[in-house]
Amino acid sequence: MTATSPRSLSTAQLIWRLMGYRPWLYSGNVLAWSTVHMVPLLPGLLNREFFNTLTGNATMGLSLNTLLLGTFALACLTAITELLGALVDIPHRFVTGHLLRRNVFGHIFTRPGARAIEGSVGDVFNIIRDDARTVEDLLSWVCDVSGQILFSIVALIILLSINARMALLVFVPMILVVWVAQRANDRIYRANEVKRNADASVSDALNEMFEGVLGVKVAGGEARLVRRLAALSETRKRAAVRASILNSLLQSLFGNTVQVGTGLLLLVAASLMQAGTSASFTVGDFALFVYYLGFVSNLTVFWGRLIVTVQQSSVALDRMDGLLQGAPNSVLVRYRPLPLRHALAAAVPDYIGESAPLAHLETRKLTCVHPSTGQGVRDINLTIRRGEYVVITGRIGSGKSTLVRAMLGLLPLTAGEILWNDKPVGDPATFFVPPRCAYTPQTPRLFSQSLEDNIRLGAAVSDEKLRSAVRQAVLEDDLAGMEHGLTTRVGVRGVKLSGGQQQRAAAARMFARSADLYVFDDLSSALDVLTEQRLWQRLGDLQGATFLVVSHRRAALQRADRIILLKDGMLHAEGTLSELLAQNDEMRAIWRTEDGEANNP
Amino acid sequence: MNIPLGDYLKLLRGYLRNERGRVALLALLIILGIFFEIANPQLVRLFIDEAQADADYARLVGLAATFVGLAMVRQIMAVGAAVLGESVGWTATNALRGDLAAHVLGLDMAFHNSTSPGALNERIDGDVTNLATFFTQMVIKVIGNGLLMIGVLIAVARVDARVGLAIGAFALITIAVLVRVRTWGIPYQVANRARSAEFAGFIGERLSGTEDIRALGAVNHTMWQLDTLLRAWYPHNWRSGMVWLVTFFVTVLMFAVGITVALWVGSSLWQAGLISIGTVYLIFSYTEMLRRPVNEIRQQVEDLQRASASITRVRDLFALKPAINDDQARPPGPSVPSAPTVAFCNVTFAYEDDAPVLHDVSFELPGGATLGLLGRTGSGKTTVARLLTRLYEPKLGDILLAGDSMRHLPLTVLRQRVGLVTQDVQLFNASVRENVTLFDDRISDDAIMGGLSGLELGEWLTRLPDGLETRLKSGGAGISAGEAQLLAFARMFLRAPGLVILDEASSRLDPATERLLDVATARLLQNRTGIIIAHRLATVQRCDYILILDHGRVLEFGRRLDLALNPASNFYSLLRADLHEVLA
Repeated sequence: MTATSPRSLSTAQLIWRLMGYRPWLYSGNVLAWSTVHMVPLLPGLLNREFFNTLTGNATMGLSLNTLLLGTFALACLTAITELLGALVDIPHRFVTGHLLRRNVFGHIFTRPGARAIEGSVGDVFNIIRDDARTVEDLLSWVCDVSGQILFSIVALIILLSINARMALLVFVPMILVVWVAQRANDRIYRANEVKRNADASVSDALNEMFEGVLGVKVAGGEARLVRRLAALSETRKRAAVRASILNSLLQSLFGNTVQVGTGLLLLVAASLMQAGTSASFTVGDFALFVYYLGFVSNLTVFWGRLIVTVQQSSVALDRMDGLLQGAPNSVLVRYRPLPLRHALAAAVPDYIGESAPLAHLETRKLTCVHPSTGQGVRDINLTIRRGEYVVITGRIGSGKSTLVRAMLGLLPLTAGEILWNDKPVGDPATFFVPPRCAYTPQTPRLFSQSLEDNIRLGAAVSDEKLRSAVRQAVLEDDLAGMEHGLTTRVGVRGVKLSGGQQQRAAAARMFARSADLYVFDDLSSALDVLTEQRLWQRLGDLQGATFLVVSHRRAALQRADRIILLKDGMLHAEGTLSELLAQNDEMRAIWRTEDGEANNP
Repeated sequence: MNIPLGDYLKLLRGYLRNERGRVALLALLIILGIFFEIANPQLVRLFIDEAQADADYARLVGLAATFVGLAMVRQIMAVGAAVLGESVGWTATNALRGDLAAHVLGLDMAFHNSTSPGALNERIDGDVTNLATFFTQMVIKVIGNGLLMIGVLIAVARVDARVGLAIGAFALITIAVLVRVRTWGIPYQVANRARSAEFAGFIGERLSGTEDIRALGAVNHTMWQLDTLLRAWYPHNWRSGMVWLVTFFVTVLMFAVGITVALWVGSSLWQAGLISIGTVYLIFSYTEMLRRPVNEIRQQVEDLQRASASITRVRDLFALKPAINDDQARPPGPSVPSAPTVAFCNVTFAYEDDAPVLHDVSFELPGGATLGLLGRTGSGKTTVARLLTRLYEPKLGDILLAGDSMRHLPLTVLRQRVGLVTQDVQLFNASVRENVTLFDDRISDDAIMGGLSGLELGEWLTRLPDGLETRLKSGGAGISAGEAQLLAFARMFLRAPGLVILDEASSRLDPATERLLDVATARLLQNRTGIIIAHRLATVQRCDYILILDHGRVLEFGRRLDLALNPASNFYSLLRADLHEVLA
């Protein structure tokens, strides 16, 4: 296990916190399953009495029929206790599993939005879906094992009182087996980790395949991607078989203890059970020993599975910890209500704290570089004043998107600070949200719900505001052409809309929120000339708003009150379009292609 | 009675056939194991009876030692069976998974647009993995346990036919009841799995939209949606659990009856002097021996239900047939020109049935010429590109490639000949090489380097730590949108299609980079037919022809130079508007 921070909790501590999340439910679970596992003590005793009655060694003085009836009644009791146990276990698993899932998922949304997850979506998805399930398993197994341990203790006392030497013979091999099993821990842990990683690669390959299905089809790459899947599946198969060898060897070791135990029992009983001494060890005693042996051996089986599950859970929790990006792992088990039976209160808007309306926004020595590639922006000082229309431009890879993302807290700052009306912004990610700021990313994501739900995204927006947002985004003509209008379902990631419609739907989503500052990253990249012009023209309707726009399009550059020109991640020049065109080669280079031959047909 | 074993075998028959030898070995191991397991209590009976009859001590020890020896052999076989079963199960389902993935990839875009990748993952990985579990668990546990039960019944019947009948009846009734319960439970399991898939879809989609959600302050809303989903799922999870519970309860209850009857019959026969005390113990231990198979079968019932729901879904998926297929394809003639003519003949198309996106579109582009496709967003430009790659098919009319209907070309051949670069570039969690070649390992390094340097990506490549082997992330982390776009161009270069379609391909590039690309694009279009979908007039200045679409209709089609010089043309007005825009 890797300790990610000194404050991090051990696996045991995490599991303990999870057990305490619904303490009554979990206590009930432990109690119920302890009973389930304890009840079989009684039929064993009745069976012993049954055989003793037949061979004339009866001690309880019950009739055969009473014994038979008792056996039946006890079996029914077993059924009822198991029923009760499951009634507690089912909701408990759901509640704790989803507490974990919700905590991991929720934490991801406290990270800078453009780098909220490390690794692929498929990986994270797997962790949230499957790893939480492994932990659920562990919590259930703990209930079982504690019941088994209680059973074993009581069974040992009973057997010791019947014949101490034989009882020790039954139990000593068990202890050996448990010891061996613990020695095997490491290898099982590693084998399971390899298997889980192989699972993730397969799942990842599938996700990629279907997320890019259009490109795959167009490129005729179907067969090659299926071959790649086959190769990854083969790796997974090998991992699964390897894990299975270890697991079944362990299982077999446990299974053998019963058989060897019974054999030993027979060997020792050989002298005791001969007719002359039959009173010292009866057939009934033998039946009881074998009966209990079977159950006690269950303990070793359960114990073995518990060890495997503990290892798997440890891997699972480590992987979840990995998603926290350095936050203490107590986040995973933070208690919060999970409203499953009571009506759900409406979502409250995200809390953003207090601040005065925007007068000016400033960055000082803002630096944001990607930790592995070292690319990004450095030492950016800029100021945006209320009511301005500022365009950030530059070549590909000059850091335009990185700059706005860093300013809005969507990427973590490496250094520097951001000031809102001269006051430093503590956490830009929670600060730069509506009604302070609204943003449309370069590749906006829509969700598979209705167009209206996508635009609202949970915000309380009046119908009138919604209509004006649609108009602001120049989406009204498209909307009129849609049969179901605003209730049109946009499909997975919005694919039922055209590229331009998706972008403008995202813009409408932004305009549906009143904000001091509107930030567009390359909004017009999928728009035609006329639509783009209308979009920029209509910005004039938003009185007093401030705009920060990433673009290299002429229509945007011409409207700019000021242009910030980036080059190789540094602020290269700043000024109006005419100033920059007059003085700056870089600006002229960017402008020239846009200019093109269109001027002189 | 619906036992999914038949369905399962039907589904996996082909895959298991290749594994015949190993399946036979597996069966042998299981049967031998069962034989030994049944033999063991016989040894114990002998032991008890002989101990009661004052047998020789050495003989008793011999019996005990034989018992231990047999037990060990059986364990070794159990390990062999488990490992073999795991291996066979994965081999068979891996092949199934591959075929299913290939089948789903071949389905129409309409299907993919309405099904999230997360849900497909759940089907192809989740459901098929259930089938692998089903194989290892089912074959070893359920079939093995079934055989064990039969063996036990035969062994008991040899002691006393009546006891055999009684226990046999008990076992049959128990199984019948379990099957009924199982059938009753399936719909609840299906409903639960549907909720689980919905939850999975939600998680996957929101994880790709973290930037949007955070920046728009919709975190609480998203968590609220999550809670809403969980709340709707909870009762289904509960009901599905109840199904399992009832199954559970019924088995234990049935067993209570069984064991009581066995003890009663045994004691009656002993009291009548018909059997020895060892035999009473034998009957008792055989009945006890039934507990494990019945318990395991019962535990497997849930897996069985899950598997049968999975089988149903896998079969449903296989049953879907793409509407776009090779039914009308003919063997491709060798004489297709490298730069084919492209003709739309009265093409009408709609994504949904009643809202046409293209109305009666006709035009003809000579081979080797370049067409600039203009129009407002939503005018149908992208649709033209999609029709040309046969991602969709015209509702009316036809599209001709080199004078022949596209339907006559096998899809694989068509997509070699027609290349499309879209705005969204899918990057794979794989090396640069694999991303550029799309996992085609037949393409040489020289060809890849040539393609990349032709696009001015040579310098970018030298900056990468491991060159062609540098791993990219599927989300595109560490690579800019522009670089990704260039990479997509490189993919196209390597495939060398006869018709090249660039759909808004350069819109993400800043002008400086775009200029670099212009050179490459010109080279790509050389000796090829090209269609460029662009929003900027600058982009279409190298085109021979211009097509302007408006609300899915052809507004204008003609040679660019003719249109540009004709003041009555729409293209002329567009150029004017743009000029005005520049001068404003």
